[in-house]
Amino acid sequence: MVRLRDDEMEWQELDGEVVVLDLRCSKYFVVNGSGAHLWLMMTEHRTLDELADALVDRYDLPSSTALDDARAFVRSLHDRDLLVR
Amino acid sequence: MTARTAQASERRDADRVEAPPCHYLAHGWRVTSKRTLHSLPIADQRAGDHELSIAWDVCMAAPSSVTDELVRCETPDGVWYTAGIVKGGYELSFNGCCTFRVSEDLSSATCVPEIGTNSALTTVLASGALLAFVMAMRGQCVLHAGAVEVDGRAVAIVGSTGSGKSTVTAALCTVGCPLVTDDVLRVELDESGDALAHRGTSEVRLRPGARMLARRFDDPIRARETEDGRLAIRPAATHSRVLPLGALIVPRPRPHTTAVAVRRTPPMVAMRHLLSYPRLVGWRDQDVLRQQLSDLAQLVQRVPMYVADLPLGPPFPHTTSERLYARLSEVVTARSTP
Repeated sequence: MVRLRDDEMEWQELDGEVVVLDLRCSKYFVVNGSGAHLWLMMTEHRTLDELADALVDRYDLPSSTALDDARAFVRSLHDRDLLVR
Repeated sequence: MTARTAQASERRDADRVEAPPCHYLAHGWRVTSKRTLHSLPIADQRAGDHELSIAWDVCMAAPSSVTDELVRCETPDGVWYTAGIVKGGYELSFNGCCTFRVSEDLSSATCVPEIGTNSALTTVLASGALLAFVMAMRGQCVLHAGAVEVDGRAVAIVGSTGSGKSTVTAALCTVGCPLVTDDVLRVELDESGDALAHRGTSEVRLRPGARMLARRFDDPIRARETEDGRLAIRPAATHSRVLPLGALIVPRPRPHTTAVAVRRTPPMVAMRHLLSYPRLVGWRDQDVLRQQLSDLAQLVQRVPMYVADLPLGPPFPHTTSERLYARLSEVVTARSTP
């Protein structure tokens, strides 16, 4: 299960993209496209399969591709320390 | 004490008799200072929403102990400025220049210069960076922007340092747009969904390459040389204390063109621009950062941003200013038409 950190982080959604402020390092970054869709889902606990299914539903991707994409996105958030540990 | 030292003491006391303080009204703030703040408009009888009294010390006091860092601006050459919480308030320090000690309630500040600092530089910092700091600490939305009045609305010219904000602001003033502000713009996001621009400075500070714009005005305007090598011009200013903000413009000087092209950007691109050009760089205070993110997200949804491709200059043809004004008038008018 993965979920976004809910402390020291702010974000705003604009036109289907998300601008994120990580207050621990005072840095902004933007999440766009499918990442923004997953980001909004990850305000609650999600499994990798749930995230992959969302990509399949929204972008009509093959399941294996969607799972790889979801895994890569979660890894990038983990590397930025943006997930609940 | 000998007669001679007594006389010297009296003379020093006489030197200390200062002129009465001047009152200014900028960004909705009534600013009181015993040193002249050339770039701010003199206050009339109206009070500001907030008050800031600036005092000027003459010697460096012992440094205070910063308990929490609020701002840290670093450049390749080192730390340029910092701000932090100290006992009894805040300190905004400019490396090698001066420190502003700001009261906890943000109503007063004392400038303590470093030895050898030119006092004119401290007044420039007080009129710009210090005001930007106290406004941000009050939770107000501050843009790194110039602004002019176009058909009854403010148009903000945003960009990073050296990107041509003041040049474009002055160029629009040469074709009759009243000045709203230069370099610092306070925007108020009201409950009705509008964004309001507060009148700020009464001068535009031109870099050496843009001084020729001072000769483009139909009527001679007041101008003065500044201590940091700029020409401060005083074009006609808006009569309004607050104006609805009609558009945000990002000037983009382009070589090899004489055309003026103004294109609207999506809100997220506008957001990226505004986040990239803060008036004070390096905020770390979480409350200020949260407020900025929220304010800018609201702003880009309320006010359209346009990127303006302009001929690289100055010098550029006078028609450049006229064409830009014409395009801005179109977008502002279109926005205000129901």
